[in-house]
Amino acid sequence: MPEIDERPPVFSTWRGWYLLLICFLLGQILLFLLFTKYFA
Amino acid sequence: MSRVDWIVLLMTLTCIILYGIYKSRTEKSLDGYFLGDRQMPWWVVLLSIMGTQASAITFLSAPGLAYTDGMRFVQFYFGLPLAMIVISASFVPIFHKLKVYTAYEFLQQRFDIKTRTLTSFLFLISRGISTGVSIYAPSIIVSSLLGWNIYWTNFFMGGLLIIYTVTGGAKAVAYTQQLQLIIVFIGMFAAAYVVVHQLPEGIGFIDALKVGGKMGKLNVITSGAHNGKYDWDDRYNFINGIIAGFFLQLSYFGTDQSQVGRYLTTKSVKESRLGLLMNGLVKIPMQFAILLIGVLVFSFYQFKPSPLFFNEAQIEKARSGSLGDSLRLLESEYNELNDQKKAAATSLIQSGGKNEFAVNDLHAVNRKSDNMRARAKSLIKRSDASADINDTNYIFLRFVVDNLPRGLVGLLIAMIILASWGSIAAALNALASTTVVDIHKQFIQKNLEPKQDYRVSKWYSLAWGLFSIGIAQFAGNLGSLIEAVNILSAPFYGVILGIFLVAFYIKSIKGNALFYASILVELVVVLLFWKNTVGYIWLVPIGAVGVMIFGWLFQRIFRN
Repeated sequence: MPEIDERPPVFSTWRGWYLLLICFLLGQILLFLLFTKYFA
Repeated sequence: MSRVDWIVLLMTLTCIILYGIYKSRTEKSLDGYFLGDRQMPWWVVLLSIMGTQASAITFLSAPGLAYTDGMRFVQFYFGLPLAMIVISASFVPIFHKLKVYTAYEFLQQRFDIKTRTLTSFLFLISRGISTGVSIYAPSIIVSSLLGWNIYWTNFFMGGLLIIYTVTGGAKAVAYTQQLQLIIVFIGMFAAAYVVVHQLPEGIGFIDALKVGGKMGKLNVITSGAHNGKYDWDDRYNFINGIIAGFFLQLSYFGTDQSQVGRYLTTKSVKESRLGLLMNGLVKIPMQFAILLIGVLVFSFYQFKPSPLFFNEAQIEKARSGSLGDSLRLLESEYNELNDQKKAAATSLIQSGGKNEFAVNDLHAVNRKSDNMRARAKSLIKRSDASADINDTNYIFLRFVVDNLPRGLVGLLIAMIILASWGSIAAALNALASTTVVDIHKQFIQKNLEPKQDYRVSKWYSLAWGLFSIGIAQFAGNLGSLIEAVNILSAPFYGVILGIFLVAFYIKSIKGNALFYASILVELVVVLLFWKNTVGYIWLVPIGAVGVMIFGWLFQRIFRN
């Protein structure tokens, strides 16, 4: 993977953004699961 | 439509076209026409990426899909955030470093000219066909509203679009898409508000959700298991959403020029990455909201009379046909059933959704309703053999026209047409850039002046526009259009993605081995598609993994 010297906003590295996306996805799946169960 | 609606519709469309032309002033070169001089900020790219993916189909077909099949389609996007991460980390830096116009240029540097040409050819086939389907989507709105012949409407709508796209180029596409999306979001929010607002006295948003939930429409997470076994034919479930959805989205955003062309318009890797990652954050909630509107429309029609068939123009034609009397009789029976449906839904809400009898009662009425709709479709087909009896794409449109206040109907129709134009404009731009950069400048005229490049690019945009109109004439019998676009792309996306994954991650595989492996796997995937062996979404991982495995094997054989 090529090295990029551009710093992302908010986080110190792009890994912070990648982690945010994964956590957000997991959170959404959990919420959808609760939503499906609640209204079923 | 009322006169106010027509004024709102025409003014919105005119403003967008003028704004697009105003913003389209660029250098008359490939950089200017295809990449907007590489000056776009991340938020324009984000809206452009979203606008390219979310066509009229998204706003017309998705609520209809939720109405008939529930919300499980949202799982199709679960792999998207993961794909955004991979593209940001691997694809974007390389595309920017090499300063390519199209994704396929990179393949010549990594492999050879034949691999580049094969990949761009596969892209041109799949995108050319699906763009035709995208032209058909807004045409059915206009044809349904005005009672025009669908074939001539395709020519009319496609023709308007071609003028706008050929003039504008990438910069016009990106800037108009941001305005279009803002109008689209306002329109969808207004539609959701009206659905809830027009429910009977005492029935609120949560009640509408309870009705939808009890009727199985809020099935956001599904396992895909039937009788204890995983069903490989099941189109949307958690497992294929994460795994196959990841491959599909990776292929779409990482290798489809209509998307790659959007994030190549930025000046830096950082801007491209931010646009893509933000898309990963907002896409699923947006799709969830659109599908939820479909469920709300379903609940709305539990309390208010629903049409027997949602395509008004088609049923009107059948009413005046030889089976008109039978159809009218069925309609009067259906109206009585609408009263029963309302009583059953009200009883369900009064019991707090906990009374099993009330739930079963509403289920029974809905089964009768489905049965009557099937009979109506059969009558329409018998009355006119060429009739399109799939009305999924008309459900939301019919709701809008029948129930939204004056002015808002015009805005929503404009919104659907604009969303479609944004998406198709990006696709035509990508088809033209790939044809010019990867085919024309490689095999026909290698050394062109920037102004000649510009002129040739415009001619190819026009040619692809005409080709897409031709395809649109055959899109009528494809069922749900949002599924049709994905189904038609799936047999090609896997192999294209496999080629790029080998290029990025498997350095030992060279051009010849990859080229022949790709042709072999493409033939196998097309055969699987033809025989309908697995759910279409699985064709993408099969194609991608197949190319990697056979590429590796062929490399061993060729080397020895």
